[in-house]
Amino acid sequence: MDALNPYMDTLIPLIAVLPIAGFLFTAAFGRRLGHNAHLVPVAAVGAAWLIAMAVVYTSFTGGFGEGGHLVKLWEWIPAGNFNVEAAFFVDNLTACLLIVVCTIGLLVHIYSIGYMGHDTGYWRFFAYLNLFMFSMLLLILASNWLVIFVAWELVGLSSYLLIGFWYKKRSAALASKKAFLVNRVGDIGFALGIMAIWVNTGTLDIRESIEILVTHTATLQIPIAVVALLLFAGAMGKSAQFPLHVWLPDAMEGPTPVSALIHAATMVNAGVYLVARANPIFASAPQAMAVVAAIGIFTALFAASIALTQTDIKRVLAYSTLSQLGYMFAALGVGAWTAAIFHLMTHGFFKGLLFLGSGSVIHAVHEEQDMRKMGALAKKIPHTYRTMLIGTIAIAGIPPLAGFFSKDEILGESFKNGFTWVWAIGVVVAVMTAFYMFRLIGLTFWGTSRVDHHTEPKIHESPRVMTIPLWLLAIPSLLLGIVLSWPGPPLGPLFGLEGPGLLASWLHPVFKEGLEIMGREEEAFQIFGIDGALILVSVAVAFAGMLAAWRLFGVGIGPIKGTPRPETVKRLSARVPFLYRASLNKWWFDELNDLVIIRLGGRVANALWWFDRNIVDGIVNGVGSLTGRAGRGLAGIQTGRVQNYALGITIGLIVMIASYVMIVGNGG
Amino acid sequence: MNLANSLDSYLVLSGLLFAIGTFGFLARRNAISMLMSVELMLNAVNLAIVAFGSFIEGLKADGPIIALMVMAVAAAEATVGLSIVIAIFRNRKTPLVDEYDAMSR
Amino acid sequence: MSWQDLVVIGPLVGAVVVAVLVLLVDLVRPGRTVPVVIVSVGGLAALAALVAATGAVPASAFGGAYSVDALTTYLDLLFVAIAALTIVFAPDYLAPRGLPLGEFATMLLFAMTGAMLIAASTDLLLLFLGLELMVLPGYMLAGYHKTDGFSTEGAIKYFLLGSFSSAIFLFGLAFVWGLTGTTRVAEVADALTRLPNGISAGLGMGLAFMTTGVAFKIAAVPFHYWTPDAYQGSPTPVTGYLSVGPKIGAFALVLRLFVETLGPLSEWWLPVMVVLAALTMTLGNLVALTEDNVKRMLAYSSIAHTGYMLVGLVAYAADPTGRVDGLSALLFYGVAYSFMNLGAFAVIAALQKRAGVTSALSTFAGLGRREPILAILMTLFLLSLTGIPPTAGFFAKASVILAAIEAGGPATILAVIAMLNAAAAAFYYLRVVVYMFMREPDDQQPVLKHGALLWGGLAVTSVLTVLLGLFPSALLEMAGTAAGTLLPH
Repeated sequence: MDALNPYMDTLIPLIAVLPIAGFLFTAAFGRRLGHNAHLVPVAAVGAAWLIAMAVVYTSFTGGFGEGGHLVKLWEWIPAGNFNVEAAFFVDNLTACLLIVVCTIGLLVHIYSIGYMGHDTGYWRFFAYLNLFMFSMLLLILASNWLVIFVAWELVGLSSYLLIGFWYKKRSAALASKKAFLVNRVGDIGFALGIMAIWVNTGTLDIRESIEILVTHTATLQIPIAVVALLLFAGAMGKSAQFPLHVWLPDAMEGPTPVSALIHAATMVNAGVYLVARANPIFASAPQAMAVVAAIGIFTALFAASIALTQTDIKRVLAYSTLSQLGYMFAALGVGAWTAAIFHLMTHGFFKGLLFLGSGSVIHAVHEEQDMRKMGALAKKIPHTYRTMLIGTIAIAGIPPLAGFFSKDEILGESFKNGFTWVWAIGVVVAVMTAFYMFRLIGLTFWGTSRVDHHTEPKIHESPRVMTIPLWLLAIPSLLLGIVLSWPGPPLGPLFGLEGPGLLASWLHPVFKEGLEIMGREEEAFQIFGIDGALILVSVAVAFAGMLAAWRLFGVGIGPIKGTPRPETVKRLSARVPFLYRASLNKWWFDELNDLVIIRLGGRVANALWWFDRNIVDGIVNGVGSLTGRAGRGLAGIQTGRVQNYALGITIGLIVMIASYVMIVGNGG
Repeated sequence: MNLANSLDSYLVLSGLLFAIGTFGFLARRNAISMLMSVELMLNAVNLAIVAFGSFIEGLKADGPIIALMVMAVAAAEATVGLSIVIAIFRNRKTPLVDEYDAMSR
Repeated sequence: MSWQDLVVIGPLVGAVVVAVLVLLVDLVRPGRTVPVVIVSVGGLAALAALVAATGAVPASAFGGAYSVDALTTYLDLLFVAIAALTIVFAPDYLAPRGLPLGEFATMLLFAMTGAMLIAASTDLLLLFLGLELMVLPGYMLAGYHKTDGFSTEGAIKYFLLGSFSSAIFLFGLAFVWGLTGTTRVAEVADALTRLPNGISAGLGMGLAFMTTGVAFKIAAVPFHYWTPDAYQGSPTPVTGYLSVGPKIGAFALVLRLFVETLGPLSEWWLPVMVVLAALTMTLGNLVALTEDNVKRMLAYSSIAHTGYMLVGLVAYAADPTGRVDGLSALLFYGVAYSFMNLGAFAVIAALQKRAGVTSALSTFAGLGRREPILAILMTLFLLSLTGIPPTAGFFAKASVILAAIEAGGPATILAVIAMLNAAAAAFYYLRVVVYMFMREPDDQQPVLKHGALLWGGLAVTSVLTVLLGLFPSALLEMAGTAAGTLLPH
């Protein structure tokens, strides 16, 4: 591997260049290739994966040194003091993300060959996927804020294209619009944040600007907390944190591979990556950190509570994604950066797996997504069932699967860093997570079949091209936790080993500065002390949630059989009618938007016709038609008559003379 | 004060002429009349130029030349204008510009 | 006139020669497309070389009335490129409608000559002559489809209002001549700095008239009324030309007049320009949101772009340290805008190859499926117009806004307005993209065959749109040098 080191300056850019080349090729010739349209895109991502792994290996083995490796391509903008380089940057944090993005990206590409096989837009789909891969890789490889912003917009664009892929479906078209609009809100925050960084430091290079920001905190023109919060606003949009979360559940209108790749494993992590990358900035602004933690853990709780009652299999997973992202932000907020990245990686794999699995389920029951019309599928689609079960155990936080390690680290660190409230809520969310995930397994795979009797005989397992990626994702879901935390806590001490885990030692150089600023000491891990107790709590709650779901929805693994108890579910939910309805209706968040922005306004304005249209078309058109109305009013000047135009010009002239006379009269 | 010997009086006259031209442009509906109004405005400019030329030492030589240039431009403009008016008259059979509003909403 | 002078005005003479040659070719082989294209594009290439050669040495002719400097060269090259691209894009639209290319190219080349004259004028009278030489062929071009009601209607509106505004401009110019006692740009600026006690009311009025006239030519709100009708009515290649050629030409006038001549009065015109810029950006974008006709939408979009360019001018004038960042941003913007807008109009023209196809939004439905390459190129141009990186449009907008932020004061407010506008503008540009890729056409439309000329032109515009976004430094440096020549020496 070391033989490749001299070529790194060529190889690193290639990771991003290959997918964009694939995109251009497929966009130009894809249609003529028909059912072979996937060849070039898959090959491009495959090659990118190989190179990425070489780069990751070099990075983790210290080939780039502590500070990472900068590949300077050219001076992008050399405008005096506004100097921007087009450059790529790889350090261990980038490497972690490269693993997730490239691996899951490749597997989703392969899976899509099967999943999208019958779609008329086959080539278009692969073209968009490659465009997304390019944008996402650009985002994590960027070495300055401007390039990150470019990539930020590009991932948004490709996400928009892919959510609306089935544009003939009205809901898909609306969902893509919603995603676009909500993301714009976050993007404005991000853009302002970048602007603030530039005003403060005069540079857009990420590391340089962070260095200046944290060393001159006292003399900044714009306080560092403001910078941090603006960056976080950007992160909230992309990573769908409350209250900018509304777009993500709707984004499930896109094809399932897209949900797996973009809306679970990669793009939604961009916000987490951004905050982790800017960790010294956040570390210098404790108030901002608290905001991040609060919003993160609130989103985790809020989304988990909704996931409890949803009946659409993809929606459950979508809210679960929101909730897990909330965990990651909570971790970032309490300063457990390594834990956040750890969870990002493990979550990427098992959530990608769960989404692809759900796609396989949906495929099997002929495009049905309602879990009330599933049941007893475990025997019929065994590969899907087994892999999804692995994913579920992983996300539930049951040892020794991947989710346990990363989630436990988040909870343990919050507790030890003094954020007991984050820990307490986190524990509650952990129960809920285990519950809703096993509910999903129970409803989908166990109990009695509620599948439409026309479809029933036609249920079949998905082709190999889809099940193999599932198994390939199941492996990291099983093992990634152990591998990345080895030989550190929590398993290491049991075997008498010492030292930080693999991931912790890799990421240490990246987060060193942030930890120093916060003045945080590495505490010794006590397996038979506080840490051990915390682990026991996490494991206990995970089992509690699992067992509750097990009893209510009936899951059978091996000899243990459960029977579903729908009446008990009904009785229990009747006991807390408000909470039940709140969860089912997603805390009326969509309705609230509806009410405040549309209905209430409509009443007040006495049912003006354009508000009616808004109720139908939703918020997006709401904003559009507000400005549209203004625009139409202004277009009214455009009568088409020359005399009116001339009169307008003359009036303008008179106003002009008057203003000049006034300006001159005032002596300038 | 001798009105004929003061620059200001010529400038005021030029301004009035310009205003009349502007008014004509606004009030007339016939394309040809509007064109004539523009010519009137240009002549107002010429009057001002010639006045400056004869009252200000540094512009003595330039004034008449500039005025000639403006006249040439006005002639070119009239030619172009008339050709366009003829073209649209063939399409619409009317010289009244307020009836040319096919593109408004 | 000395031999020396003739060398200095060589590019101008060259431009006229090319125009006459095209006329002659059309005389020898009437109605043929290929000879006209060869002569005009070949001639323009030679002209570009001539411009570059003469531009290497700054010089002036006719006692300082005409000068060749970095700004002249920069703008001349742009005008030549615009003319060449317009000629290349035109045949696909003109031929099916039976409109000859020869006269079209001739008029276009004369208009280009006018724009080049503006760029080189350092005398107020020459500036006016150049302006008229630029706009008069423009009126004819707008009405080029003389049997079409829309084309002639657009032309007469453009003409009447245009000559009205020319008269207004000239009236203001006359007062400035008279009150400063000279027509040479440098001498006027000199006289203005030595005004005994501020400017007089007469000079203020002259300024007001000139500002109005110029605002009309660059289509700034509220003097923009002619734009939508003239753009919608004109044959599409002409619209493409009108949206860039006369606009950049008028901005050359702005630079020569407001920066070089009236620079000492910037305190007086600055507030007016701030208001104009804010109004122009906002109104242009708001109305564009409601338009269902793509040509009309792009007309309003071009109004909005005028506003962004004005932000560059304001950034220069508001900068207390007198940096030229705003002006070089404006010049860069001009180039970026020219290529992306010409490209967008070329795509529309290509779609209208089949007579009877309108420029309504529905024409674009399903284009992504029907003609994917055309649709992707259109997307590129629209993304660039939106200002999404890494396109030329993004960098143009970013440099204007950054210059405004650096300048501080009123320019900062404009920068914020510009950013908000850019965000709003995304909606109407991307609407076309949505139609191309996410809508089914109402009826089946045939796939059209496009000429090699069109593809070649599109290749040039699209490559430049991307390259200027990725490697803006070379052009930016040129723009900086060009802007530097405007400062008092």
